[in-house]
Amino acid sequence: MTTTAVTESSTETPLVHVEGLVKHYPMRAKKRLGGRREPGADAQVVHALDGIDLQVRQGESVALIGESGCGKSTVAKVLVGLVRPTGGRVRVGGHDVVPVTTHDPAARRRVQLVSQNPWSALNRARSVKHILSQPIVLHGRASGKEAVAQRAAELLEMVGLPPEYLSRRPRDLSGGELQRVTVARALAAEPDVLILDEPTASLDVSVKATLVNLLSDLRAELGLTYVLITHELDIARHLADRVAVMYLGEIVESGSAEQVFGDPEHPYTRALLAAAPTELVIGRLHGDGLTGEVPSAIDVPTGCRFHTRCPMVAPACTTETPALQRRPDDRVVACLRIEELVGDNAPGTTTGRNLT
Amino acid sequence: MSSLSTSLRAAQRPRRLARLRLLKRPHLSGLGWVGLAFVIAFCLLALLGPLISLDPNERTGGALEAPGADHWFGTDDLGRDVFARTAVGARLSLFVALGSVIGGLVVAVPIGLLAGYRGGTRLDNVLMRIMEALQALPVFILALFVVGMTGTGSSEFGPLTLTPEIKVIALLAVSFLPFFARVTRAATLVEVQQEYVDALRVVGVPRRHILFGELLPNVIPPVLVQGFLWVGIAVFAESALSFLGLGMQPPQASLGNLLSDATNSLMIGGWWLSVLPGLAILLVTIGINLLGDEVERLLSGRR
Repeated sequence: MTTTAVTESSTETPLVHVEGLVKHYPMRAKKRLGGRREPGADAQVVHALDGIDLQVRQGESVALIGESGCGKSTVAKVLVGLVRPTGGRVRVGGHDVVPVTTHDPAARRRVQLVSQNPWSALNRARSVKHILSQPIVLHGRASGKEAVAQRAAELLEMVGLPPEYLSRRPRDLSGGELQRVTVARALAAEPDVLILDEPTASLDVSVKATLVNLLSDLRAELGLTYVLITHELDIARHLADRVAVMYLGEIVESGSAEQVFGDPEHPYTRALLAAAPTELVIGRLHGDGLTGEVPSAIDVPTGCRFHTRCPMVAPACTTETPALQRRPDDRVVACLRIEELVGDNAPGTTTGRNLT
Repeated sequence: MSSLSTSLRAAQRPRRLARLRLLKRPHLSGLGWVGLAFVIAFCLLALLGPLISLDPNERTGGALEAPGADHWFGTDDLGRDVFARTAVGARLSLFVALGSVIGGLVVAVPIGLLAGYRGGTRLDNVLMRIMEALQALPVFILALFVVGMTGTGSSEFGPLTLTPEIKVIALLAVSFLPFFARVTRAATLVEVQQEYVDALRVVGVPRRHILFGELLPNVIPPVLVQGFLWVGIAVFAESALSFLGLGMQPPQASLGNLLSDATNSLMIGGWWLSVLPGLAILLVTIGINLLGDEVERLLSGRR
């Protein structure tokens, strides 16, 4: 897949390297007659991402978790080049990510995407064969009609579908089968990194389980690198080696899956884990669940962005912005009170779920 | 590999059969069948009529003979066979109508696709404002202007000879552009929201291919229905232009010309001169509308 030179260098530098990624969406400002914005008027922006750092090594699986609207999917879109970042640097395999509007097959091949809704991710007018052949032909993975068809059949087999499905159209397939086809299409280009943007969000529970198993098998067989975007904690726990927890466009805690799920340190991570549906005790939140809504991303809270909902909020939290700091166990957490919270296990804190 | 291809063929067979069955007996409502019958009758008149009729421009009988065995639709004030003239006029109308609709579609569909694909951007704005400017110009005013500038007969622009037919086709096609472009854009705007468009971009499929290879098949059905409905309007518009003397010129017969000539004979009892060509226009306009509605219903139920 990759040349030896690239593999060697990728052991030193991470395959995916995101540094200070910022994405602000401008709000449609009221325009004066003449079309020019009022001088000096501050244009409002939606803070989708505010300085994200993320490193993914070759063969690693990293999950981004968080509530809806925290900017997870924006990270996915930036990584595949669908969204142009406002600031910061995003590199995949040592190259800057190129926007999809630029013709650059090599850049397209490096990163592929599995999106959330399999029903709309495939063109209903086209056969599975056409859908799978496109990336194979575009990226020169096989040439000649026979070879392309054979490769498409192989890809189908890889995701556990029989070759008869080549002649079918998306409307003849179930949701789980469709999602397998989208995975096969993403694999067809033989990418370095696979971005899974809520791959299971719209599937049945049983189908979800088989897809997660498929993804984890594929990773073991092909040595794939995953960036998993999800709000389903179980999925992240099952698929990810490392987890980064996002809140309002920032990463608040990141570490190995065991660390984050087994012993969460940041108050938000604790609350998020406690709010997971499996922890519900008939209508009552177990411990301190999350209360209230995520604050507006246009008018973000000052200081720590979580202070409006944090059970451990202190006066300093409203003014001082916490920086990500490395903890003794090598995870990073952004919280002003982290020492006292972890140190003496302050009252009102919840411990996370055990992995067992 | 061989087992693969046989299983492929086996999977395709039942679908091909199903498609054939659909062709054999389409599920039309009563009005749909009426529309189909009208359209077929008009097409028979336009395509077969000229082959079996007398010469449309020769004096083949006495002046103003009523319809009978010799002259099915009677004769006009110069003794020409009205059936022959109606058939030739119908053929011309059909040719002009199809030509203008196809011409309009060929230009408008790419415009609408591009505008919809880049929906909300400056390009979309510019394209659609141009279309609206075109729409603001009534086709008859435009026709008066063009015909006034170039004359009613054939005009030559360098190596190009513009016959009256071509002029009418071009005029109608231009006046149809905004409608076709808007329908295409609307369908494209919906389609672009689908995640597969982004997926194709990520795969690296070139924009031209996404537009014409992937989006077009999903966008085209409502556009074709619209185009089909406009064939009826085009027949009507062509007749109106010729009636006003802006389209076909005598002695060439067109449905509009025939009606225009018939006004002189109406007061002296020549009812067949206006009623029969008028019926032909009515037939095709109603028929196409009924059938078009039916096709639209079938297509919308398809998903």
